[in-house]
Amino acid sequence: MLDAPPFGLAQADKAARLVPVLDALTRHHRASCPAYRRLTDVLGRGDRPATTLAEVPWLPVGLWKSHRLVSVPDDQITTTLTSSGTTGQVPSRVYLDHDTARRQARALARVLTHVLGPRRVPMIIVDHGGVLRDRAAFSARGAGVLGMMTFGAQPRFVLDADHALDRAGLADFLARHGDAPFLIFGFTYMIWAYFYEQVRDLGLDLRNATLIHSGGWKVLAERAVDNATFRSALTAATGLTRIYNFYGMVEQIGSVFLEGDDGLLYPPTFADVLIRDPLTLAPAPIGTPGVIQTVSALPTSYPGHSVLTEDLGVIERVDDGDRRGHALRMLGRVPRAELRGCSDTHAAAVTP
Amino acid sequence: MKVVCRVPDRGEVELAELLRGLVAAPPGQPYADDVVELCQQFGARLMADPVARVHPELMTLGFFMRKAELARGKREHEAAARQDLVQVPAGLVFHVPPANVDTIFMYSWLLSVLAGNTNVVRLSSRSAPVVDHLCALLDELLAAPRHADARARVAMIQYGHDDAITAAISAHAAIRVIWGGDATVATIRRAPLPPYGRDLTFADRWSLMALDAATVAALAPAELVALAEQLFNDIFWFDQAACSSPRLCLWIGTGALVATVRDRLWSAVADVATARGLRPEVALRMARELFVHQAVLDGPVVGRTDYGAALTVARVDRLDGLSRAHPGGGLLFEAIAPSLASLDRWVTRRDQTLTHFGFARHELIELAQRLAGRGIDRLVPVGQALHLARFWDGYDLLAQLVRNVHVVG
Repeated sequence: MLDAPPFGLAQADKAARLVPVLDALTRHHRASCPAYRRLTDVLGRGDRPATTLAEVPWLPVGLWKSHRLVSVPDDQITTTLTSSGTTGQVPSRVYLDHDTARRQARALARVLTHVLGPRRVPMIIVDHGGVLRDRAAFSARGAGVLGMMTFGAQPRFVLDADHALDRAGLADFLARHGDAPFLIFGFTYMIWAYFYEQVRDLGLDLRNATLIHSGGWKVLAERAVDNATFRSALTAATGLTRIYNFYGMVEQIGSVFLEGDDGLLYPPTFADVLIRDPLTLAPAPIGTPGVIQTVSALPTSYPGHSVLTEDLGVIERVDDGDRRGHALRMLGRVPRAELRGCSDTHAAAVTP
Repeated sequence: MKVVCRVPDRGEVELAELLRGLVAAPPGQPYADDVVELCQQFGARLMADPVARVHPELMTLGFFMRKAELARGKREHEAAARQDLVQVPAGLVFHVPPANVDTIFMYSWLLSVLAGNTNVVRLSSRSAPVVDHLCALLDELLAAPRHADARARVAMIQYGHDDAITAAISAHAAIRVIWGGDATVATIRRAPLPPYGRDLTFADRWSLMALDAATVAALAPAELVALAEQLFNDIFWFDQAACSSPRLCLWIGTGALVATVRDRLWSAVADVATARGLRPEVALRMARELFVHQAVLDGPVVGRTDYGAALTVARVDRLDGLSRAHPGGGLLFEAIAPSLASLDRWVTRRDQTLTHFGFARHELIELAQRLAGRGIDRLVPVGQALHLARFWDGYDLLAQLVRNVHVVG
């Protein structure tokens, strides 16, 4: 599946290939992860095989914050990924063995070379070098940066620890590499808040760049910046036109949904997306917004092949967007609830 | 130090000045006529209020303050009188109600004002429209000259998390009433009371219901719907997050009998939820889903059934190992036991209310005696889980809010 073109399959073909793989993963994790077996016995379908994507049992994404979910013996765990939870929040913990990590790296390469081409080009990282320092327990941000660095050459970090732009460094990079294709990578809110805001009036020419960005839209939504605004503002200020957002999460690293020129997100061949009604959790029809469930053929070291996220989205098109398969529009996070109750601390304790 | 005084509506005021006025206010008397009348007027206004119609918890408050109910309270109070006791107000009472249950501040004030006390009520600074509405209503009634004394004895105020203000008020409080659970109790207790002062504290609590399976099985269809309506009120008011909201349903009977009725009953509760237009908040629904997964890994959950979007029932095969964690918002644990007495080993001080259906009075009394104070302070019929009353959390609130002067002549 990893060898197939990442966006080449029509939805029906893709589902026909994915379902047996996901079903095999369900069986593998049931056999290898006692917690997963108990969950699927009590809440899921037990031993009954899934015949459609919607029948593949899912786990809520928050479970990686509270429980250790592993499908390999401890001595095979090579990397522990943690989400970059903000202070006070419990981070997700995802356990990788050699095989899963390698598969995820290959998968990410399949998706990104689709827009970057096979050749490694010089790369600007909109972050500061310190983000890589803590190698023991990777933050998702550090892991993301490190993962992306394999797709560029001569990487240059252009922010300092206080997020100030290294103008001289950026000018030097552009003088050396600005006339040929190059890559810019950063997290979405950092691109906006620390890159765009600091370069918008510099008259830079970034026409030869491909921008890859990822991460939540929460900060930007608070500033009333949506994807269309993000794109048009960057194009107007710098000439950048090849702008690709991708949607991914630490629980399914490698399985990223890449933005097409239409601004919609496309899951690659080895992954897919379903939308569920946020109240009944039944599959929602195409075009109906709901909670995003993502499936991925990649993870074997932890039972993360089917995850119910806390993000809202809508599948806008099937097989007739920029690419084939499901075309997803993100609609943001599930809003927090104002919990009532006699105990004033209650809300803080249980809100996801 | 300044606070915002909402009742009487005076806006921002200097705290020291406010406290001077309250301390100097003329003391009342338990069940004095003017105060009974004030409460009665308030209740009557509430029962006729269009805003209250859409907030069932306000109707319950209004019911609690209606004429007959107040008269009954007064009769009980007088009947309990002893010749050698003169009951007098405790003095200045400082109420710290929870931020998230809109009506508790009124119950807390009401019981204390009936005892004749002077009251400072701390309102949450993120108060809901319902709170604003109740404050405006009370303020309007207090404007009558007849209620001048009652007006001088109350201040409902708002201030941020300012320990200095809490301390300044506490320094004058004969009694401090702390709702809001463990964390609030711990925070407010840091401020000392005068040597004669004491706290009435309301810790985090957990509640359950018990249904007699044979009684439920024998219900005619219309009776089952009536039961479902009571259960709906118990479970869904305040998003199932009040201390007395039932979170566990304990069926008393055999597994075979329960199997014939459980589905019918929960479907009927779900139908009530649909008929009343209940739509859970998405975040609460998602939190419930995550919680159920966590509960399967951490506890004795052996099955789950969803009844519409509103209600999830998680079956447990034993109470041992069932923790008191709960996400609120439409999740019931469900267990089967041969008798009420089997609660004996499981109940702890955390457990507050048992709402019941189908039991004889003597069975309930036997359970209370058997538990002997280890837990469960209220056993009330289904439908009354959230009816705050004079007897709460093991206290006789009214008795706690008066002083008994012993007079031997």
